[in-house]
Amino acid sequence: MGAIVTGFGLGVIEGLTKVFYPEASNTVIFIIMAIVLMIRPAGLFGTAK
Amino acid sequence: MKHQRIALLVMVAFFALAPTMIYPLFLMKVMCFALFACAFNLLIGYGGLLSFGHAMFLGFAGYIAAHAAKVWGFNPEFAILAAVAAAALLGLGAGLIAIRRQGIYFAMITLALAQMVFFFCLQAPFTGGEDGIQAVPRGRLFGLIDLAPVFNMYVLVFAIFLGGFLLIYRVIHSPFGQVLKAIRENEPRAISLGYDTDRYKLLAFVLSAALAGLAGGTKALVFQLASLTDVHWSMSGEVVLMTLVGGLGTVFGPVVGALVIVAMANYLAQLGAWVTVVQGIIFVICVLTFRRGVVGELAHFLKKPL
Repeated sequence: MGAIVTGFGLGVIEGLTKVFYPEASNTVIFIIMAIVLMIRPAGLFGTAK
Repeated sequence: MKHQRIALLVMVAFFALAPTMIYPLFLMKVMCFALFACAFNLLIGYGGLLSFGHAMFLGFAGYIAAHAAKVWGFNPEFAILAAVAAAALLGLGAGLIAIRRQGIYFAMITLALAQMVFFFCLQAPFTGGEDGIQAVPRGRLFGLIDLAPVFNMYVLVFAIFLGGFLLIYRVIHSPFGQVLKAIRENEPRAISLGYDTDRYKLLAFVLSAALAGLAGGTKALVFQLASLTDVHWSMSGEVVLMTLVGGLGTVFGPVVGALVIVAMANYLAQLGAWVTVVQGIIFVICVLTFRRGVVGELAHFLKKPL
């Protein structure tokens, strides 16, 4: 479930970035990944073991 | 110890005599990448940390050295020092963020940070975007020695490479290196023995970043060019390849690996896009048949660490 939702979400975010600030569209997903791994190491939908 | 000394002599003799037979610019490229791979090996081979963003240190340091030499008019030694300092600072920042996670998460965070640095290098006004910084002057070393002749540049690169290599060798065989190995083998146990593992890992990360920066700064002066290829994530992949082909966690492995990979990229260039295919095949063969790498297998055969 997490893979579907975040895959869709990240696709939308990348698309939207392409509209407003095209240069950053390749980088934005990595920024989001870094932030998510910082605050939720198990991922948005994962549970910490 | 005796075998390592012989191997060191062989390596020094090779790089000292080879320019009479092999194109010196190619050898300088090999030495830059060898130092880069050695720095990377310090982190993965001895600290057990797989960083997938080491290109950011190589490339960013290259930009700093090129900018310092070209725009600020620094002497080459200060341009390279500025590059090392910049890479160490970047390593400190990246390390503080990445060290808190382990395994795949560590690799992914370093990759994410490297992509951000790539984006910065693409957009920042001083890097020249897609063009990079071209026609970087090599300048005069200490204001005395003109580095434009190939021989002078070769001696400088050789000295930097050897200095970096011996520093890494010393670090590996110091108590600090032993603690790093303990962390690689069993981190909870190292913690239970009272070692502040995060501090050791951060120190190793910064050290590795600074040495990668040394390689990057030198490379920018050798080729008089700092470009985006050095910051691209494929460079991070290439350095993993060099280290694996040469032998993970061996002192001389990364040097051999860098020689093999750079030689392949150079001498197979007429194959065009097929170079990556050949590289991939060699990588697969390497992983399937000799997993310890060239030097790793040799060391296993001799039953001595190399």
